[in-house]
Amino acid sequence: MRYLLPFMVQLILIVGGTIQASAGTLSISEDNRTILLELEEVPLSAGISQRGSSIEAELRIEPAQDAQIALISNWPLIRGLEYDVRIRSTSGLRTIPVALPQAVPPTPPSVQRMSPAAEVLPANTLRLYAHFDRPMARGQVVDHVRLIDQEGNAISDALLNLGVEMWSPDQQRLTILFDPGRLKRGVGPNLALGAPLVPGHRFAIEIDADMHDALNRPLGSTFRHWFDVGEADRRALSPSDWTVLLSENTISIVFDRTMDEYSALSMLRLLGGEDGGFFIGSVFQHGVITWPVPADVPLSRLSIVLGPELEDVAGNTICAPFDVTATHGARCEHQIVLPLRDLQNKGKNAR
Amino acid sequence: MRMKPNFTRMLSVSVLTLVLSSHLADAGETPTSAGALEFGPDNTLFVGDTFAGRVFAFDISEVVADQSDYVLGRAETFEGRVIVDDLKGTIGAQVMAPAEQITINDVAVHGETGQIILSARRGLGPDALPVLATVDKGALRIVDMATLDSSVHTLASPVAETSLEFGQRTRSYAITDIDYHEGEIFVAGVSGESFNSTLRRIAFPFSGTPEAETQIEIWHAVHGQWETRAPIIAQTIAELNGVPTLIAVYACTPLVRIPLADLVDGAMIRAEMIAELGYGNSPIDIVPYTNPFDQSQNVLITHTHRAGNQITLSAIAAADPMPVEVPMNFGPDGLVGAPAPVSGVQHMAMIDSNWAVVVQTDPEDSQKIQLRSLLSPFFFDRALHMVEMNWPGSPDPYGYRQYPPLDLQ
Repeated sequence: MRYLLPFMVQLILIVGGTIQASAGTLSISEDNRTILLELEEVPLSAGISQRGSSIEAELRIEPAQDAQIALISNWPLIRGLEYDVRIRSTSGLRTIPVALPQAVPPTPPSVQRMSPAAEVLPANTLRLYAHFDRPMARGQVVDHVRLIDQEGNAISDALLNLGVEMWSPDQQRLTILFDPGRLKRGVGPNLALGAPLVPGHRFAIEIDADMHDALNRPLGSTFRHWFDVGEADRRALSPSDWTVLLSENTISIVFDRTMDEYSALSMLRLLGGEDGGFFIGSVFQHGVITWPVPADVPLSRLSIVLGPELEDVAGNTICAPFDVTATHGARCEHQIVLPLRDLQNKGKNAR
Repeated sequence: MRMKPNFTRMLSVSVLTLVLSSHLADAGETPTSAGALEFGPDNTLFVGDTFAGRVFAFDISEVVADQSDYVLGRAETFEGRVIVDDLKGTIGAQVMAPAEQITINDVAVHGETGQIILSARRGLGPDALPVLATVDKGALRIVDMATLDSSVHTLASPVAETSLEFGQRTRSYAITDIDYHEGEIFVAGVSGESFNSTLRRIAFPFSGTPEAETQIEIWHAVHGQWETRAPIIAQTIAELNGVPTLIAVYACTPLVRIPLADLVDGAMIRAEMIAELGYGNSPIDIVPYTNPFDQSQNVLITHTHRAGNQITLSAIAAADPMPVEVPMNFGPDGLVGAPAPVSGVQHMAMIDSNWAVVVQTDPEDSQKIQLRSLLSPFFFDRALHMVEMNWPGSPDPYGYRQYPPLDLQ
């Protein structure tokens, strides 16, 4: 374990009413769980509490290198908070103040981009994604993210409010899900309120200035992503309407509609690599998915594999539209493999 | 020349065998997150690990203690008690974090002992840590999950999902509910990148074989006109006329019932809708309870923004599916039962037939979360509401004033 944060602290000795102060060294492990310090004797016990709290958590005591003592906590110290470490030994009680400086980025968090970035979205759009430049704090979406109309009025009950928020594992990408009850035709909320997006109108996803990152730093300014709304799209995905773009080093697929970026990235694969494997490193940009493919790979060897969960922004899948006529719905559970040569091809190279 | 694909020549690849997904947990293995809770047999506590897409089964024999002599309130005067006053602050003090960095995820009660257990999260960022805590006669203690015997089931990934180089998941999936029934757990969840409505049925004890998990796709048939996939947000399992049945609420608010016998591998279930619970609101829990007065079996459905729905199981069993032609309405419809004053309750579980435990906002301090007892079957505490009988000199038809002030230590 590396101890990367040695710093000087004042040891406050309380022995028989006499207070002495002397300098010592203390360091914290990289995972913020172990306090390493030099002590004259092995403590009888040790504990740690947040500054001002009477509740103390026990620290496990272990010998460390260079005659040091390691005090190990079950819980990592949180940067920016002040703690008191209390060491009890035969010579008495010592209280050591400990604090890890909080590394605050010089700039406030920001929304890097929204996905889809299309200027026109179908009226039955199911979800969008907000990409932040750093991990954001959980537990605040319902208060700080909303849909507004072109007059700036918040559209009530437009977004689904679950007890759990849908963040990517690094908490930099937020899924903003429209209330499916308002999108599904014939369901109560849809009948009562209609879909939240109206064709021919303009709306925005608004993320207000108080939305903060995991270090509690707020955006500082309100972010709005404006888009126009077109007619609802209730068509099953149709690969025959896609276009393959060929270039010297890449293969791209241009879709006939706005696709869900992360559905495409996780559910579309290009088959035909060495030993029949998949090509890696796909990127989704401006509504197009692209794989790097060496120039010497012939088109005849390439196929795309569509996962059954592939969706466009309105939740339409390869098997059926989002709303399918009753009793015609089918479980979409099989992959589909399509030779690229069977799709519309354009490009500079005829591979 | 544009060539149209001949889909008859498409190669359709069968659904791949599910990846081996269960194992006895490695010594000291702990979840990445602690969410939905459910008790199983033999002191087993199931914990949904949403961040890692797993379900842990912990043996909590060593951490549960009999709570039968802990007074939960006084039923005669409709008074419960505050079990833990500042729940987030109390947890935070023990895990060395401020209250604002503690999020309560769920509460469950061990039936045999009445032991209350909470799941929570410490921290706001991606490095947040899971917390499991017991409340022993009002004293909250953090459970060291690394010391518990456990087994783990990893939820199977969607077919054909790509992953990062070392198999890390790139997508988000939230386990919304777990229910145990006769050797199986039923796991519902919501995906952040697809409108996935898969309900998983997993044999317990976890066997580590692909056959241990079956997947059912849940669909919502709307008035015989359209149908859509329907992720389940809250669910419970009960016997309706002797038939084990899943009672569930979808994200789009319908209440449905599905016989467990219909939930077979590969099935696409069009559940019968028996109520629509109203817009502008999300369901939180479906809590089964026994009415202590008439011993009837019921469920209480709690919501984010409205009163709860108290419905008898007999009514759920007897309800006709909602008719095709439903008049436009601005609120609930169908079998919605009686309202219960539990708006503001964030999580709830039954302790016994007389008392529930709730996680809710302090009525006098919206920044503080309390753990309280709540009297069943009314789910009403006079101290939390403006009740006429609370005023000095007001009529006392129920004889509250013959009792001394409630003083519980």
